[in-house]
Amino acid sequence: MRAAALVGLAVLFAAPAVRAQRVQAGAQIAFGDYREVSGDLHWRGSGPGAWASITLRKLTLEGRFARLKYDPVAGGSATEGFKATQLDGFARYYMASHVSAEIGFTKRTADPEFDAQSMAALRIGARASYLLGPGATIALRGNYLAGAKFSGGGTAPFAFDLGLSVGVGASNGRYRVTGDYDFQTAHRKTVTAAPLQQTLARIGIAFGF
Amino acid sequence: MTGRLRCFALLLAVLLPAGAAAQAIQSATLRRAQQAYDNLDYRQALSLAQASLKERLTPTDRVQAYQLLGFTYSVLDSLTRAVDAFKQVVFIDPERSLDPNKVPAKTYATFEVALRQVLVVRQLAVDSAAFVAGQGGLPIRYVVTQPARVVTRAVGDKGNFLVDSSVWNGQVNLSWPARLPTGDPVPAGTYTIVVDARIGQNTASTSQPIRVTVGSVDSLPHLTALPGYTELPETEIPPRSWRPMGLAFLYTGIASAGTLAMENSSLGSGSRRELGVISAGALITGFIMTTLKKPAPRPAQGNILYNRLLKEQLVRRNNEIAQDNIKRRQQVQLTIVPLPKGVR
Repeated sequence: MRAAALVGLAVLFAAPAVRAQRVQAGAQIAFGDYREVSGDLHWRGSGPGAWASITLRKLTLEGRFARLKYDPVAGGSATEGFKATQLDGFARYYMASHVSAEIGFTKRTADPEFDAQSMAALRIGARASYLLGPGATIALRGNYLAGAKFSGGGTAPFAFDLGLSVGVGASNGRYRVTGDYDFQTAHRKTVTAAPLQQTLARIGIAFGF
Repeated sequence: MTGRLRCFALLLAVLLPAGAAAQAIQSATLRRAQQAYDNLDYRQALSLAQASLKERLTPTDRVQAYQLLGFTYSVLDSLTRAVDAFKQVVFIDPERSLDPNKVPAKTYATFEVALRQVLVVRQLAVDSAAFVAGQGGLPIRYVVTQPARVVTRAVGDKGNFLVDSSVWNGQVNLSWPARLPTGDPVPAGTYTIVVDARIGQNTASTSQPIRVTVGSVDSLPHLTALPGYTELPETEIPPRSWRPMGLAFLYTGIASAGTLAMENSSLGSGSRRELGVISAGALITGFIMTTLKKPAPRPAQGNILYNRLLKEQLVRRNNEIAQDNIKRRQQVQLTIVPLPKGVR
């Protein structure tokens, strides 16, 4: 928490000093669906989220945070809910024709620790972004989640993250409404197959300066 | 009938100049001579005109007396005496000239012969002029009746300046730059253009006063735009396109297909709620951008290059004007006007 506050302060103070940069930040409401091992272990939840990004010419650094309270879906075998803290980081470099190369990380922790799998992985992928009109953008992201680690152990050689983002607002980018969709799947294997999957939607407002 | 008319016309031509001059004659003898000439009594006109010359005549009457003698001798075919009389006319009044349309051709030719036998400088004319010192001159014209060494000078309180010194004959056209030997313009003031002609001991002279005023040269204002050229808008609204809607469909389609393809079948049918909400938002945004919202203006490269060229031309022209103004501030504008004779 202290680290996040320090990063926020650093962004706020550094932004006016470097006028070539573009800084954006937003608050969001997130809602998601989470499944593990089989269709019976199924949770749905919602919670607050936030994100911030800074763009220096072709390089963009972005961080996302969401804290969801997952409750078991009726009819499933899950009995207890849990709180998930999702933290994502991206470093994006614009290549050409609206396409950027992207690396980063994803980390999801469950509380209580053993009610769901906590997960962390590196992201390697690409992102395509297009300006639909004045102040409106749409973006599609695909990341391979490399070296995924789980609190319950096991490996996931096939783990992907797919994202769709849309933003619409003032043409100068001062404010806008944002919507993000994240689909994360990991074909986790322990002794047996123990896959997990999360779909997450975030809707919020963002400010740029 | 035709012969009588011709005689009448000739008579009118002879009488008209003399008659007009007779109005200003003060000497009674000369007036009687003029009347005798008008009555075609040439002998009487000769004797009376010669008698009048022995009197104390005003310069105008003296010129008129000699001119009457010249006319009378010319009519009587005594051309040598006519030329002598006209020479006296020219000596006294160098500017005197006859109108070839109003005097007989023989008389006019006789006057022209007399004019070429005396040295006079006549018909000195100085035009008004305004010019930048060193870039123009004052036009001076005169006629010298015989080949002679002619010295033209500008004489004034601030000094005497040589305009020209050459051998001339006939019509002479000069241009005086009104500059000192150092290149500086002559001081402002009143000058007299004096023309002296000399052949041996014979001399002739004429003059014309002028006024020289010195002023500064107007500088040019800087330009804010090139005349006839206006800047073009640097952005243009592109034509409406279905591309935003198509891209929204494409992106949401890829996201949906990717989600379906990567869903783990052992986890059951995945949730569509999250994808549905965001996809709907993307499609609505694409629809709005395609149909309702005006397309974003885009840079018009041709216009940008045109405007850049225009600005470069404007900067270059203003630099030229600045350079020109530096020169203009160092220049002097001379305005020269001729004055009536006798004015100082």
